[in-house]
Amino acid sequence: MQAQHAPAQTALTAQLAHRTQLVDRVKQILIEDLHVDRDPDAIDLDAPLFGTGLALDSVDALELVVASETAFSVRLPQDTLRSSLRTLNTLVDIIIAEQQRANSNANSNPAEEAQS
Amino acid sequence: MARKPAGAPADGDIVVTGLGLLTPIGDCVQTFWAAIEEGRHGIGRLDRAITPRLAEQVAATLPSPWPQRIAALLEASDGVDPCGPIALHAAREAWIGAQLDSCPAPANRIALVLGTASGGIGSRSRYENTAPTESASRHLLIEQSRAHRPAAMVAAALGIEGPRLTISTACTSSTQALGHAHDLLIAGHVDVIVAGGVDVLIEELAAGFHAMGAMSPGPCAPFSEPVGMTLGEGAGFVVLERRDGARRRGVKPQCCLLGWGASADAFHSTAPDPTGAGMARAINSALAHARLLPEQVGYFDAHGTGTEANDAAEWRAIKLVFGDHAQRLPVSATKSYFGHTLGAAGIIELAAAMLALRHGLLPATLNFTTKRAFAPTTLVTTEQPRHCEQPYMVTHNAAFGGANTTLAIGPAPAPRPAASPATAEPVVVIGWGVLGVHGSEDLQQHLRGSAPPDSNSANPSELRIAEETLRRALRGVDARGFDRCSKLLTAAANLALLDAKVRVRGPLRDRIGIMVGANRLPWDSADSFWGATRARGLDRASAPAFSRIVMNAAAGACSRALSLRGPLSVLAEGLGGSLRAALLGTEMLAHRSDLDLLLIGSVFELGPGMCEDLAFQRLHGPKPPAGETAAVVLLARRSFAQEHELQARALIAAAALGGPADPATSLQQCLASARCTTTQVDTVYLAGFDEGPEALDHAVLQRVFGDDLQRVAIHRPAAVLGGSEAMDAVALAAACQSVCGPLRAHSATACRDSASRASSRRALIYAANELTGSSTVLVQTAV
Repeated sequence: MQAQHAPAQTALTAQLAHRTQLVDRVKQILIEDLHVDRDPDAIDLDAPLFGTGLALDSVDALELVVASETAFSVRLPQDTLRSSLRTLNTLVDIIIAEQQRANSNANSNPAEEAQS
Repeated sequence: MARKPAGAPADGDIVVTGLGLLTPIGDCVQTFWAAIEEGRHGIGRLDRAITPRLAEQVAATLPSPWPQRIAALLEASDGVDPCGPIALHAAREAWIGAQLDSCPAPANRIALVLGTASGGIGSRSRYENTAPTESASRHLLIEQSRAHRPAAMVAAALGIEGPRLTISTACTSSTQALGHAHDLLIAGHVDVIVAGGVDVLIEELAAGFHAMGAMSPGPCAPFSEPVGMTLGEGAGFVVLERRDGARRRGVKPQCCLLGWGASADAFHSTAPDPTGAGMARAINSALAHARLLPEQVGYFDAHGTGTEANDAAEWRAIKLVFGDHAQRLPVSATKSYFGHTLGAAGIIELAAAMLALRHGLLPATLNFTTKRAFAPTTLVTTEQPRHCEQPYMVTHNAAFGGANTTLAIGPAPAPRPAASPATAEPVVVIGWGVLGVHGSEDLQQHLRGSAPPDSNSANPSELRIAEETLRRALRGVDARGFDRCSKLLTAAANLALLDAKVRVRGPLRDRIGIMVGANRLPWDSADSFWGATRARGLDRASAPAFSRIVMNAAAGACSRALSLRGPLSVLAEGLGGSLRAALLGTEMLAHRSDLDLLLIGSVFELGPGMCEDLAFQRLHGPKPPAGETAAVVLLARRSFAQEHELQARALIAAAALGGPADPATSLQQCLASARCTTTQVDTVYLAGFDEGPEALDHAVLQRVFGDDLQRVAIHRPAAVLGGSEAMDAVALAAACQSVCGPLRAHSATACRDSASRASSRRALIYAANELTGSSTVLVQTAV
């Protein structure tokens, strides 16, 4: 049993580490670019980014999208932006999903990737 | 002003005697009007953009090649910052139209008031893209990027020797320039004013608006489809003077600038208050100032940028102000001809209205397709009758930072009500807040007792305001998302309100404004903006950083945090700006019934770029250490202070301003208008930071005071707090404190003298600026 679990565990640990890394980078964007006046540890991952939570506004949202896209080399889907930007966790979820989609596309269709 | 200089009219009409334009649809008044008459716009591609996605944008640029004179001037100025030469082209046409060459006025009685949103941003862009190792180039570029450069250039070229003022409230810059010019003339500070504005489109500006998602895919179609704005550029100027002065010069008035109004939304950094209430306050204030009833207005020239947010809010504002009359009031948006010319919008749009008045034909709103749900009933389009029935016209602008400004014009003043105009009301100082390296407490004690900062300090950043000081001053204030400059200003303003025991709530929110001096773009927001464009390209610029690289961003943030919905203004001229804000603010308080309180101040932010520049300057000569400062005083109408039992700590006895050629003018005028001699002055505060008797301001003082100077206590706060371009605001606060508190030992000589005269003490605050001129304020003990 133990032996069977080990590879899954490693993958999970790697995923978690990757996620933590993303969260830290988004926090850095919030603090440095968007003047969120808090320690990284004091930013609640499930607090609303806008309105009562971190008090970001519509202009900040534009920057959060562009800065995240640039930092993680992804494109956030426009049609679900509003729900993606609800909290820091939802934003990181969509970034990870997009990264995975880009990776699987690259793996499944290397020819197309090379063309583009 | 409590008292006016001898010879100033008690009340007078302000008339326009000259007009000059350089716009995307015409390089003079005649060609401009021909385009409007024919319904021809000047919108094409932004071909000067290098970034492909920005070059695809439509924009209204000045016809290329630029007129030869500009090209020559540009070459002479190394091609950087075409704002000065472009402004000069338009100002010269106005100058000649007003016959100032053939029927001159005394050069030192002529002022220049220039509005610009982004004057100097071309140099700033080059600065940001120059390697830090090139410190000499960077120093030159940062100096050239100062917003008051274009005014200095235009004034010098036209031979204007009076004061030069630069107003920078983003897209209402020139609108406000005209408003303040109106007040300066009414109060008799000068006789003639060349007032207007300029902005030139550079790629960064297109990048910023692109990042905000504000651009229209085609030529802008205000109040119809497609939604979005089109950028423009250009310059416009008028010559303003009092009617009697124009008559004496034998010049025919073209129309009358009847009045103006300003307000702040206190809502959002870029979006207008969607209810239209913010814009409505400015329009109402302008109508009241012009003594017009809403029904008397026959044409409304809208800000009408084409964005969903602006146009809807503006139509709501029109309905709020004009009620039923809104259904009949012709409205048009002239940006459909020449795009959004940013800081020049106010003057170019006023020119359209002025010419409409002259020709009896209203400008149409071009590119009209389908009317939006929220759009004026009587939008003037090319299909509508365009004749003008009522002669009174209103032009309105709104800006980033929530700054709204409205002008009212007409062929002559509306028939006045029988009641005589209200007399000027005295203005008092009721509180102040100062943040510096000393912290925020007891400024006087600090100015007296402490040793000056270590002048050998290698790192000037040591004189930054401590985070703890800032945090304490902002207690209870929502400053989330603010950059450092906004925090500093808001902190000082908050301290001033606390000091005066004023709580801003209820209807008072509409009756308190903010007017500040500014010196440079906020450092950390400029770093974010250019940092992002370097890293990601101009087509992926940072929208929030862009919204903060306007001179009025900090004042806008402060107005939101503290609910200040009255006028919001920024004098972008470095040292002396806040004294001029005090002068203009005093005029507004003294003459307006819709305003009770004004916060006046300035911020000097020691960003990394500033420290780098200071370090470079120290290589080339001794320079006292710089100190980060933020200072704000709270002015009140005296009757308001009395009604609300707020302690009047000092009375603004007089204020004056002068040109750079003779820095003594403002001192002499200030004393004269207060009917005060040098012997009656106890204390002088010098705002400059060059010390010693060779310093220019000290020499001027010596000249005006003569032997009296030995008796006067002279303070130079910069010697204690470090040099700062906000030191004029600190000096103003310190001077108020010196005339208000109990007699103190530090001015023992002055006290002995004054004690024998009366308990009233007087303190002068003086700032000399080699580009903009000098400014003086006299405060005295309030009784």
